[in-house]
Amino acid sequence: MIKRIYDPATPMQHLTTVTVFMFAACALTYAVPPMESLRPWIPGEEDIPIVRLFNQWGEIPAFAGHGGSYRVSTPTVAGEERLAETVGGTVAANLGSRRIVAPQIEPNDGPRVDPAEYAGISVYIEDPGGRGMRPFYEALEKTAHAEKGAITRVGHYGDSSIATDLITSTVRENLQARFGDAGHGFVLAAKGYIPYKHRGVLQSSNPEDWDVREVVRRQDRTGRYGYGGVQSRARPGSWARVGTTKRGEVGTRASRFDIYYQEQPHGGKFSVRLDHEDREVVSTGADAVGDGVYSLTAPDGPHVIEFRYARGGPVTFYGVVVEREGPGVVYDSLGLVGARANRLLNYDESHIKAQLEQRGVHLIVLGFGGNEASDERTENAFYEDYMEVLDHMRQGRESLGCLVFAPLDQARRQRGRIRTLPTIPLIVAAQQRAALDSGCAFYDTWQAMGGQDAMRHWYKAHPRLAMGDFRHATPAGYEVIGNMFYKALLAGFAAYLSEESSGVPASSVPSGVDAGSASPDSGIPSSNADSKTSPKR
Amino acid sequence: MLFNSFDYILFLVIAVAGFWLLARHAQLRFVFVFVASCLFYMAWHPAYIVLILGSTLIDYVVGLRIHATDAPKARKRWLIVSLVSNLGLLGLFKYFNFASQATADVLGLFLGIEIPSPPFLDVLLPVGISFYTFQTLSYTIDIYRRKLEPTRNFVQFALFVTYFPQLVAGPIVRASQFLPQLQRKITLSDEQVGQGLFLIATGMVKKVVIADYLSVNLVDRVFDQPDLYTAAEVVVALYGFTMQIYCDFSGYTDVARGSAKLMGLDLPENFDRPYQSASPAEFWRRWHMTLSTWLRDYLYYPLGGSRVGPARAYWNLWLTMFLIGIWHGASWTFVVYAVLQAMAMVIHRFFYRRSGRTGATVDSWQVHAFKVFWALQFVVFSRILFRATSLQNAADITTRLGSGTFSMGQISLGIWAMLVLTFVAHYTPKRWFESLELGFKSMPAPLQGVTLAVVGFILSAVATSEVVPYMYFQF
Repeated sequence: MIKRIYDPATPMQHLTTVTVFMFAACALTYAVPPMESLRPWIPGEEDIPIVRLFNQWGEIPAFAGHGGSYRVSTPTVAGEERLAETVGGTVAANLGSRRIVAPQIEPNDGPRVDPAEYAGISVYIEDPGGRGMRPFYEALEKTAHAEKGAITRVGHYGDSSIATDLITSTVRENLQARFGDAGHGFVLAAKGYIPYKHRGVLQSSNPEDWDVREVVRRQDRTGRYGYGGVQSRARPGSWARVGTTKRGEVGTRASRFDIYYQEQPHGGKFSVRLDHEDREVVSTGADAVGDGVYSLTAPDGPHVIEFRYARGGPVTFYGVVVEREGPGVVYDSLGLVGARANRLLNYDESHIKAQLEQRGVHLIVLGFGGNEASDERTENAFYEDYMEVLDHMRQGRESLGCLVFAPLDQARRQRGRIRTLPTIPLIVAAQQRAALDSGCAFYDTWQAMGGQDAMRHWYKAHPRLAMGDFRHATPAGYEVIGNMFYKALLAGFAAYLSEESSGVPASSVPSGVDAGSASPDSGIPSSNADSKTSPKR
Repeated sequence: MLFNSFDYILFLVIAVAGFWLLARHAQLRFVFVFVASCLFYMAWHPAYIVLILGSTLIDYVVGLRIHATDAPKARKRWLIVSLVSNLGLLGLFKYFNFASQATADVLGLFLGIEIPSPPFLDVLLPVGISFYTFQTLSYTIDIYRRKLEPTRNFVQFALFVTYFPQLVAGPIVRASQFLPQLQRKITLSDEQVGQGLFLIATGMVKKVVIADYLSVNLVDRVFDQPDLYTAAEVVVALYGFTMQIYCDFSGYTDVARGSAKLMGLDLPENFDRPYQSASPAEFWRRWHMTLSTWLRDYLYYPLGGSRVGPARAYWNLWLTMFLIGIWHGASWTFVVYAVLQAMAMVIHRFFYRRSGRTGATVDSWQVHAFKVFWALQFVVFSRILFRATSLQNAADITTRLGSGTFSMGQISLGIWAMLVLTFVAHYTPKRWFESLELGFKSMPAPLQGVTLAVVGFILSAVATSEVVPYMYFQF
């Protein structure tokens, strides 16, 4: 018998023996507990082998290799319906770029927001006391009034999901199309070799001649990283250019450039050219270490500023601001690849306070949590971290609005299924608590995506909205988030305006929004569609 | 249903067991596998089984009608029915929307005529339509050419069209290769069992371990956001894509051929180490061989091949290569890709002829290595268009290539290891791989079973996502 098993007489017996031993080895995973993770199927799971695959093919994207995940320019109704089946109506309704048109306002009317402008979202900004968003809305009201020079500025810090400038560029483009383009805003002076790319602005430099120091890596013991969290140290031969783009709805014009740099004893000099014309040689020398700004104005139009290391000692840049006279909105994208929120504690407290004041931002948005998702910590530990970070950045200034932007869903493969990491709900809950406890606003990005297991659905969507690492969204996915967040800002602004005009604090939702309809209509079978997030402000 | 899953293994076990249990009832066994194949296909989209069955029925009838008459006009008329119905379906589902949009684009660009909403057919592309269409066409054309006798057994013919291992992503099997196998006594040898199991295992490894890993951890990221990567990293990603697509597609073919072997049937080879090619012409003889030979036999030769005047011969070559390129997809990127491949073939032939070389000319190993290197570069860089989601995406990738940035900080050690190992393996002598196969085949059956289970465990541990579909499914 053993010989017959070992050396089967016929090919059929051979095949049978192989099959039996293969399945016996599989059966072993059920008998040996340490092999549990190798089990091909767990009895009781909703998906039954073979049967489960009958639901998969409909999800195969047009070309599995890329899934059409590049930015979606013209979403079709049919495409939106198909997408809605996978990721829910809210997400599908926010796919692709849409033309933003500001409603017509009579000369004597105040600013208003048409409810149709923020239709298609189910998660709103939470700001129960109104303290988190008030400075932003007040500034935005002046901008909406078209007051001369009224610029509303936002600084959006975050991890790699922000560093791509896809969420932020979407919000920027939408806000600028709606309220006016006051320029691209802040960009790093030179990125060296760190992954950093902004959309709607021209940026170039010789990376090999720049030495960058990042707040994320705590590479400068003085903690002076500048507003953008990255020092760019120039070496002889270093040059960088920042300018307007040639094409696009926004970003094609500028009228002011501010170069943020570090003053220091024995500081060197840098030369500045505007549109290929020499302008000035600026000294960064000072008696003590401090921060300086060199401003250059020009007629509103397309411009390129170039700055080079000139001579002398070290020259350290923080970044360049590209702005226009306004009225309009500026939305600074301040993404830091690999960042956890607590890395902001590496900032010198007085330095970051001065930088934020110098920049004149009305709202800082903190969008972290993506990298913390792999940390095995408790909700309270995350909470403590965020409380400290919010205090460090805001430092009790009521004139500075602040909003915590929850992380995207993150997942991992677990016995053949893509499941949300258990830390994600903990981080979101901790962020929400910390934000509201410290008088900041909160936006639940995770819930807006669809909550539990959203990444699974986003990955299977067509166009694909999530990357295969289940940590990041595709450009199309980031655009969806950007559109949803823009609408949430607009909805909050509508509520603020209604509160201002009536003199009565708005209850919880913008006028025109039925509270009952505000729960996510994700339509995703396995997600927690009964979202905990209620629209409040 | 996708091959790279435990579920497919279960499905295959059931199909193979049924196939051999019904060995004494030939017709019943074909019905069994035909039904299994239909279920396999319907797992994707049940309604589209109608298309494939409709196409099968038409070609079955057309085959018989062509054979039944000697009148040339009637024979041609029936052939046209087959061509129009098959190519019509393919054109409608695969190329209509692109043709409509392309017409609008061209009218807008050159004549200033704006068509805001060109006609749009809101349908999914039926999986495998490009493959089974060509299979059924080969049947009717071969009968028309009197190279093949039609089968009167509808189930046999339907099984030829729908046979699940090769249904959705090839290899493109000719009726003359497959039907005779069904018409004689089907037997199973130890060689087939060993080879079949080995092919399935290696195909799964190629797909899950190599292709999916490179796709998720490198290629998708770079193509989704090229701005975040340096020129050097983009180059690495292009090499990564080159290996990914080879392992993805050849992995599928391996599983298909292995599965068929367990039923005592042989499917043709589709790849022969294509990146060892020394010219674009050789590449297309070694890459997706069943498509290249199909178009050679059913298009290039009927057009006159190279036995016509030089200008016509170049046109024939250009057209054939253009169609091979455009077969892969309906978009401007594939149009440009097709033109690029066709031009490369034409230029290669021009210089080949001028040099006075013959098939017997042998290069020194240094010259050969030089040619292989440059042929690979052409494959790698022309595939920007193959992988890009749009011309804009291709332009972004190309712009990054010219950015003069050289850091490779975002390429992990795992990616490097995977790329080096796979490219080195691709250039090793074929006999090394064959000795590995021999080693597996000489194992005792129980050890083979355990080995396969261990391979399955490893695949399950390293799999990057739930199920990543094969790239060629929608071609």
